[in-house]
Amino acid sequence: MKTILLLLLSIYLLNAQIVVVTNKNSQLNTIPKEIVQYIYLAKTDKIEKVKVEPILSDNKSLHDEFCNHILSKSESQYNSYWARLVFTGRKPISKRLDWQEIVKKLQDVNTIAYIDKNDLINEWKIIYEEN
Amino acid sequence: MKIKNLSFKLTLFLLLNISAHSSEFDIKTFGTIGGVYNDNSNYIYRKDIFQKDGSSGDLSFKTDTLIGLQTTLNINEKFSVLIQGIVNNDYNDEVKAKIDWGYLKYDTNENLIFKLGRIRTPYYKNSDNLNVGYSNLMIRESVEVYGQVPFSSYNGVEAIYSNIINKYFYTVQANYGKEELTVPVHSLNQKAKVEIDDLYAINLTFGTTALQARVTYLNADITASSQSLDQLFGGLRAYGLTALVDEYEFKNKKSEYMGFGLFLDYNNIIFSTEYGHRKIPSFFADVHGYYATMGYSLDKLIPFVTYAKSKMDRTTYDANTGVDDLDLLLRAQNLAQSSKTIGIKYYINDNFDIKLQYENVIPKGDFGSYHLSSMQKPQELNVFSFALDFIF
Repeated sequence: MKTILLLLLSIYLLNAQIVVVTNKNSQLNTIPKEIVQYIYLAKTDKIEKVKVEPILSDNKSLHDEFCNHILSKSESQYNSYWARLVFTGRKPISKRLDWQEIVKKLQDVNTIAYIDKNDLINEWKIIYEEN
Repeated sequence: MKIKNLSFKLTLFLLLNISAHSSEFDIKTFGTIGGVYNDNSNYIYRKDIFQKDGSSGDLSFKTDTLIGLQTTLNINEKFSVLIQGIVNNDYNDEVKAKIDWGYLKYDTNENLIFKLGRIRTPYYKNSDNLNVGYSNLMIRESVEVYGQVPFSSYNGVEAIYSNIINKYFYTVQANYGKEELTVPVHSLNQKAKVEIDDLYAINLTFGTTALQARVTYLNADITASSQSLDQLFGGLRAYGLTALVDEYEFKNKKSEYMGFGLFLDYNNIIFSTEYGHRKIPSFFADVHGYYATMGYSLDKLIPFVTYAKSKMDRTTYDANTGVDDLDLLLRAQNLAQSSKTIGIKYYINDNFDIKLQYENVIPKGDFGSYHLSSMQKPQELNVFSFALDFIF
């Protein structure tokens, strides 16, 4: 029983708590999960009439978690979807960025990104968090 | 495969690569290396009615293999130019490069986009990305729906409006234009010149991120002509058989296509179904068809099954008009068949996937078929395919 509890605790600790963040100076406040999905599936590029730029992380486990839990798709399903967007001439979401690039991009007001909550810094604010 | 215009293709490729060094340009590449083995040497297996050659009791790389380039020139925040070209085995059984689509795009940044140029006709869910294997589940879409209409692009305009209401999104797409093309009729060893005027289409897609529905309607005035067609219908007219001419001549005929689709992509479950109905009051007879595909995502591996069926609104393979040449033409239009497919897609990484699939095809009715046949009586085809898709 102890082993199972330890295992569950390890799994819990290993799983990042994903939050969607933006620059602190952004007009954006809390947004529902559906809007996060629509933004990352390129169904819209606006939140409350504010144009936003979503960015993707090159952290594989974080990206997988985001696809699975927020977008309800496997990484492979999301990649196929991404390819469909790019090769049909729609405005694609940029390729995945590393941490330094994400920090730099989030200096732009109204850029949004998903991160591990533990990596949150003072310049950012959370606009979506899973309960 | 014969390679023609190789110098043109190499020059084009070189120019596109040079332009990639310019910051305003974005170049992307996609492609498929695919092999097909059809066990029935009485048929040539094809993915559409354009193809001249394919597998007939042997391994063929002609059916699915292609390479494509897409270049985007961003002029400013609102204007951009996009061009997509492919190199594949064409309907004359020659490897050739062609511009598949290319247009000037104006994005109002207010949910409304306009396109002007050569645009994909939005019959089906995957009309736009038909050649991009990496973005699709199966090696090729079901011919019973995707093979109904013999042209895929037009010259004209398109307007797209998208928005979100509460938790639902919708996209309305309106198209207008014209097109001219040569359609091969391989079974009769003929070619027809097809002119499409006043083409307009409207397409509505709506739903949630998991479940979507799609409705399409297309209307156009179409004329198909060739020396043998003109001779045939000229002869009928001379003999006073005007009723047959009115019924079967393909001249300025109001033609329609209607399509419906339902798509689910939620957690591990993938489901898609489309129904299409082509109505052209001429010898190019009316046909309707559907497919249903179910897949289950096991992380990188997605097994899937598909059932598809197409049927002529009125059978043409038993045509008996009293005019032999007209009967021959009508019989060749038969596209009735059913197929069952089982396969897997394995996602390798962000750039590659591989697919394997087995398809059992049963053509219905004598003569015709999507797959070229010298046989009068229909037979079964067992088709094994593999593909390596890539994007860069």
